[in-house]
Amino acid sequence: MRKTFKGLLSFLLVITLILSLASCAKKEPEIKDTVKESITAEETGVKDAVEESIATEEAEDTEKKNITIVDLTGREVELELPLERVIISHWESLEAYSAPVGEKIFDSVVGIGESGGMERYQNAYTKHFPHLSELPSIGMVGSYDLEKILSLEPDAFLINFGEGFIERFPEVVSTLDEAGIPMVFLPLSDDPFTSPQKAAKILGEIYQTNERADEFINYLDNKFALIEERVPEDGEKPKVYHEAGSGSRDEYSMSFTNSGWGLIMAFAGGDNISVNNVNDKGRIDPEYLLESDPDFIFITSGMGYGPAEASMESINNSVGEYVLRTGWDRLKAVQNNDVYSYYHNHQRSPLVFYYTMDMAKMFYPEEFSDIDPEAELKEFFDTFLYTDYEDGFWKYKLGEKLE
Amino acid sequence: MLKIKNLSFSYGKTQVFKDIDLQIDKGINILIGPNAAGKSTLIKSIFGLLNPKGNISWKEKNLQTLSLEDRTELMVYIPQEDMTGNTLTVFETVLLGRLSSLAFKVQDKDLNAVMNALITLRIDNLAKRRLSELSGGQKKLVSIAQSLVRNPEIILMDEPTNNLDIQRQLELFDVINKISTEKKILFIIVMHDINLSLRFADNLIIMNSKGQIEKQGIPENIIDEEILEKVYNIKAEVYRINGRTMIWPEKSMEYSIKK
Amino acid sequence: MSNQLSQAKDIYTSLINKKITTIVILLCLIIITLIINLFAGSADFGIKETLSALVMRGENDLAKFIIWKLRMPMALAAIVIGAALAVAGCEMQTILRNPMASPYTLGISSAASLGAALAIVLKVSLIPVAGHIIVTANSFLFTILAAGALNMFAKNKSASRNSLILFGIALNFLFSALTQLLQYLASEESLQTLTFWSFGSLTRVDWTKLAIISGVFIFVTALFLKNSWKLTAMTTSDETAMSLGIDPKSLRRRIILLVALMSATVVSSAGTIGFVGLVAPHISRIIAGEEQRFFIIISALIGSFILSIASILSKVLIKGIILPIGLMTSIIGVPFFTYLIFSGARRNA
Repeated sequence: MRKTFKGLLSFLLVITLILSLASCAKKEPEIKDTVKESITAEETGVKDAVEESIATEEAEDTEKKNITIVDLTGREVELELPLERVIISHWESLEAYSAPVGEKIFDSVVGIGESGGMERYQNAYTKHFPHLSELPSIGMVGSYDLEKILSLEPDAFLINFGEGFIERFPEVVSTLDEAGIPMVFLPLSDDPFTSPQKAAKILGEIYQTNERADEFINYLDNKFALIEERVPEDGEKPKVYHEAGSGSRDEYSMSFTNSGWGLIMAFAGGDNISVNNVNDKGRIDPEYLLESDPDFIFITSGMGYGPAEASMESINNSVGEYVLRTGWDRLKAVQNNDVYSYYHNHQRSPLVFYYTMDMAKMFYPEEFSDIDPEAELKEFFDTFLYTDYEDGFWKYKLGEKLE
Repeated sequence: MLKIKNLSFSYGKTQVFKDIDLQIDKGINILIGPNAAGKSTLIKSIFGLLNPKGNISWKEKNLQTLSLEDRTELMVYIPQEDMTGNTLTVFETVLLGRLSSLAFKVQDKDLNAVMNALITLRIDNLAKRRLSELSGGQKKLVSIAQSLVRNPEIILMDEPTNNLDIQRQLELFDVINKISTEKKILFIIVMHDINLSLRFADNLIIMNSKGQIEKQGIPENIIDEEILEKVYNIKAEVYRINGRTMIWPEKSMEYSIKK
Repeated sequence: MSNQLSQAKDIYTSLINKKITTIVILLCLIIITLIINLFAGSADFGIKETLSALVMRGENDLAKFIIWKLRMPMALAAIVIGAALAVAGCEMQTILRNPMASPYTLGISSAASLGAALAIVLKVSLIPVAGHIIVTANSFLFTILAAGALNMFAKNKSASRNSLILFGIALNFLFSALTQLLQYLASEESLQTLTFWSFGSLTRVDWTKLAIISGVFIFVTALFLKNSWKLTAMTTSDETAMSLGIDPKSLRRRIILLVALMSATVVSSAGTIGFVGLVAPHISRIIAGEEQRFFIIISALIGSFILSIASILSKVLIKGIILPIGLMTSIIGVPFFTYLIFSGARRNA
């Protein structure tokens, strides 16, 4: 008995010692004051017109001023401009933010959140902006490291979430509010056709790059207007089906109907068979799918930035597996190789116009005969983004072989 | 004087015992009888664990109107099963007997009573041992010690010698005798062992399988071959030698293998 | 006479002294872990800065904010919740006379999870509340509902200790099944929220919740301590308890309600944190025995200590991430538990 007692006590003391040592251990070094790394000539995929407007804007904006904006959840946020230290919630947000803001954004980021699929964005952006590889992480949503956020002393925290975040994590919001850290909620997922533009408007204000932001907004609006114009209102629509690539041969995954890819397919003039079978993000009844026999099938998977081979693994696990499901060999889409894969998360990005266009052209080849979606995408990359069209693999068609 | 009049009890439709009339006032009273005679049920009813029909009074006070708490100040019931082995020490277990008057802080009078009981039962050397380490016999003694600290007037015991070897059986009754005489406590004990009962009872109560009292009185006076056959359905011889009465059971009247 | 009394006193004090020493040691350990907890975290302050922040002096406002708004409530929550869970487990084990019981036996934690799931997935609650309180409130109410069901069942005269446990198991299955149904119907986002909730986290506990939990803990534990001798009697057997003048069924019912109240408060605020309620009383029993006055207090202290360590580990183990504390208690709990089982088995063999 005495022995157990002693043993227990020594065990407890040892644990206590280990812990005191562990917590005194060196922490990771604070982010260095952002140093402007040299930007190589290749990275400036910015067309001349836009470049000029930036130059004029930047010259005016080094004096401090306070503004109040209303973010996309309706919250009023007070900010002190110019923003010098910014935390953003997702690596993938850099795409949507750099377009209306410009290079400034990369200098201002002092901390960034983690998320699924972030490595691809991380690789793509650190390739062009090496200093980003040292960006401290604030953790994943749901377990944000509040101490880290506070110790980075940001001027703003740009969050790619909406009201749902405020509902789910009220203590995070209240703590950051109390600490005086402005949170700007810029969800890109609400409406694929307007959310990036709405976010851009606000970003233009807070980064004082209004002109560039407006150019970006008009660019996208025009693309959507064009698509809308050309997609025939009446007449027969091709039947289409979407499924997320997170399923397996035996398990069907989610079908989007009135969000994300579902909306994109509808805008492009497709008749989404899932609408009559499941609610948004429900799982389709396989028998119904086989009965409906859609003309086009879209399986959105984990591709995008990175070498094509890396994307192929994800595509093989989704498209590759799905087409082997019972009965799928009877589907005409499979027989005609009209099964496509796009990068799933791009449903909430500024590149939605490309996917919409690509689909519209497939559905209505005559109406879109003069449109080349790939060229459009490339132009968008060159004009607004700081990564390259060649940095990723954007569209896959069943049967496609890579060189 | 414990007066029981017309006591009966049924579990649902099954009559367990009936028409029990008893008047006991001191000493060691032993209740014997065949298996389903209702002996255990009877003492549980006297204690108050069950609600029988009829009248129970102690010193002219009707016991059935008392609350369980008041009843337990008067009587102690020691069940057949030992206390489950756990980590309480003997000292603490006996201290529990003072439950009704025990405050958060243990007082001298409580400690005194515990020591008293332990010494009386000659288990003071076991005071710091955990219950789980004790033998069955020792646990029984601890139960009795727990009863003693309450200064009860009646102690009811259900088959206390069941799992004890002969030495412990004798020691147990030695202690019971001592307590009964010194502290003037009334014992009512249910037993299976007829010879032990004959040896130690001041008053023997024989129940039959119908749940009634067949006979009661001084053991050597009431025990004979007839009553053994009637109540137990056995053939046995009764020996009285040197003032000692004992039985020699020969065979069961219902079923026996020929030698 | 006085010789006998002094002999009695000797025995009694020797029994208590060991327990009192244990209490003192545990208090010291808890204070140490509390201090470590205040120093641990991803924001890097020096010792001087941390200390001056603690006494509310010093110019580093950020340090003050982090220490007082983030680290302090979490560190204190670990202590209080650890104690609460341990005491709840302690009494469950006592009245069910089962060393395997925990505060979540009898369906209490699955009721809390169901309440939370209803609030998260369907946005439905028993009483109309708005905002994020809905999850906490609903999970609390459902636990009380389950406790009520248990209470009504236990009132039935024929309900023995075993049938009560069986009923609790049945409730457990029912609530778990309903929760699973909700998980199936849930949207991706709700599912994630629900999963996060079930992990248990001290970061959700702010000063208000802490005050409520502390209040309930003090209230319930005081009641337990007041009845400590009766509860000690319950550890022997139902019949012994009755022969000592206790009504074990009624006591059992009342204790279950109190345990449910305390568990409900903890789980609805911090999610399901497992193991502490099982392991702490176990250790306490081995060190100090089941005499309730000390059993309760030492269990509470051990619970505080375990959860404090778990909370430090959750911050320190992987840099930049605060791991769910329920995970940490399992990581600490399992090897410890195995050690206990083996040493116990060796002793009993």
